[in-house]
Amino acid sequence: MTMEKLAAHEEPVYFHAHGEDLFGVLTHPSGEALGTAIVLLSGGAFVPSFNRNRTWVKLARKAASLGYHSLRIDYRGVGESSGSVEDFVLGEPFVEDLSGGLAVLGDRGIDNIVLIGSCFGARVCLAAAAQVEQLVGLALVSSPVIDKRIERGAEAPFGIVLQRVRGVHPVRGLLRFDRPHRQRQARHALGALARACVRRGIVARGSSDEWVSTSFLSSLEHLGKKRVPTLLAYGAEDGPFQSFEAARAGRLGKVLERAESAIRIEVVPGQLHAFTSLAAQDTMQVLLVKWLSELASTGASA
Amino acid sequence: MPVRETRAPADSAQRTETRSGATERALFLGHWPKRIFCVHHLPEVPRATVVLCSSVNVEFFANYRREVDLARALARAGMAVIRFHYRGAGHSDGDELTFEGMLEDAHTVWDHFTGTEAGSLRAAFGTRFGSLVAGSLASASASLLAMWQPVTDPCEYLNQIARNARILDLSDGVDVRGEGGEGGEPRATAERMDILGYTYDRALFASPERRRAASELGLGSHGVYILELTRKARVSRRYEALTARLKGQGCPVEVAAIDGYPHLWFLGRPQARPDIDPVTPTVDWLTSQAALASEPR
Repeated sequence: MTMEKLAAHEEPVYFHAHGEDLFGVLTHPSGEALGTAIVLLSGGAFVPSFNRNRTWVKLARKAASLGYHSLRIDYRGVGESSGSVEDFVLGEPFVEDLSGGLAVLGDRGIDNIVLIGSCFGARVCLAAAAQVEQLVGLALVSSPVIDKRIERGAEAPFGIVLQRVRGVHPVRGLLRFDRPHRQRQARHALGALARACVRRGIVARGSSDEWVSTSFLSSLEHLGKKRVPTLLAYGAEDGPFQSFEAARAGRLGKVLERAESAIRIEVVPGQLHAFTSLAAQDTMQVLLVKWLSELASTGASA
Repeated sequence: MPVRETRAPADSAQRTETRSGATERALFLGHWPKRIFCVHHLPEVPRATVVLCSSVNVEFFANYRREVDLARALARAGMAVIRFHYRGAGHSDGDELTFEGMLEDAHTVWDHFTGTEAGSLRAAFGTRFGSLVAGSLASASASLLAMWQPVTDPCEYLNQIARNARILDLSDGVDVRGEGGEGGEPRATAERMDILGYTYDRALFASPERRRAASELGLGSHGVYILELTRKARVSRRYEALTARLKGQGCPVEVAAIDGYPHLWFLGRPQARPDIDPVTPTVDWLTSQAALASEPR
């Protein structure tokens, strides 16, 4: 369906959060209103609220035809919002920004909420989920499971050691890690470095999963207990998927088991992270529109 | 003198910059399916109006905040600024980007926001491929034209982008002979390419109309400013040639080169390289032009 067929009414909004004026676009349903709003949050690389190749605009207008309102938000320091941001730290998600957006929807009498976030945005959604009283569903695309804060001497798998090395600026500059082939090359090349780190005691060898974000685990646990329909979507070649798979061997696996059918995991071929190809964008659209359709038929209606 | 609005009308939203008192009003101009998303930056006493014409696709995405910063700096300096998203881009309607549509959108925005302000100083600003659009506005209204590294050869520009993508593919071990186009052509000759998640349609860049727009860039403008990022600390030959041509036509031109990574427009973000600042010299030039225009003759 092209966007020309979707005559969704759209409205720009400013709202106050974290001491700044944040910007968003509110899309109204073009079909029969469900009384449910989706909040769309981008990744944390200074991505404006329309997202790469206007991925969120297309999704918002398709969701409007299913009866959803939606609000896409520019974080503080991004897009049209005021303020500045130095960095996006996974362990410090911008919950206030999302809360400000939820207040906009609440003022309009829309309290049934679906949260959809990509990468850093997924972590914001997850961190805020417990505060949303009428949470209808949550979709996390390429959500990282770590906070990227690993204490010296903590037990960690090689993948996490590599992520530490990626954080070193000269190495990041020399090697491009945003492509799968380069990630594979880097994994081989840095394997020796990781082993050296283990030998020198910078990290310890072991199978413990203490490196997994505790807030990630506790939020998922909470969603499972509340039986909130949750979708975890990854590309098989996404960087975050490797640590997700490693984490499943530990406490995360038990959390997912306890949640049973409430948490669904979808893994698609290739890379979804950051939507850096048209194929990834199409795959994500199909996946999320299908999930939203199911949600609309089962429980999103007010 | 533009009339300062005190209240945002329906279907628009407004905020006020605490530092300058300038307002920012976001709105959708026109009706579905041709709505154009615009942001109007309005200082308390505007002495000029500048329309910003962005580049397209990944350059639009990568430079977004840099252009917001430019608009806010201009508003602090007393200039009204209009930014907009072409139809088929950003928050605007449409799902296809065409050069004709870009020109139409720019002229619609220009007419809407500057049409009632006859006599006030007007300027068009363009980033990279958007410079061709800004050039059209400036020549049609004999206004000032400021540009960040304007595209002077659209075909070469497309090839440069395709080359960048090809290098990325080669470095990833992708067989580029069969990966580029829908028909399996190599990237550089494909009619339609997926580059970093954007559709690059050859028709958008490589038509005689685009070549003509590039060859006439700056002609008819009241004054031209060109800013180039370079690692050579000197202006490149293409902009020397453009400058000579415009000066030959009697158009005042100022060219500046600042030290920076030339592909910043393609890959960079302002936060990633805060040391590269194209905003300040651009604001300085436009401010000086506004001051000149306000002097009694």
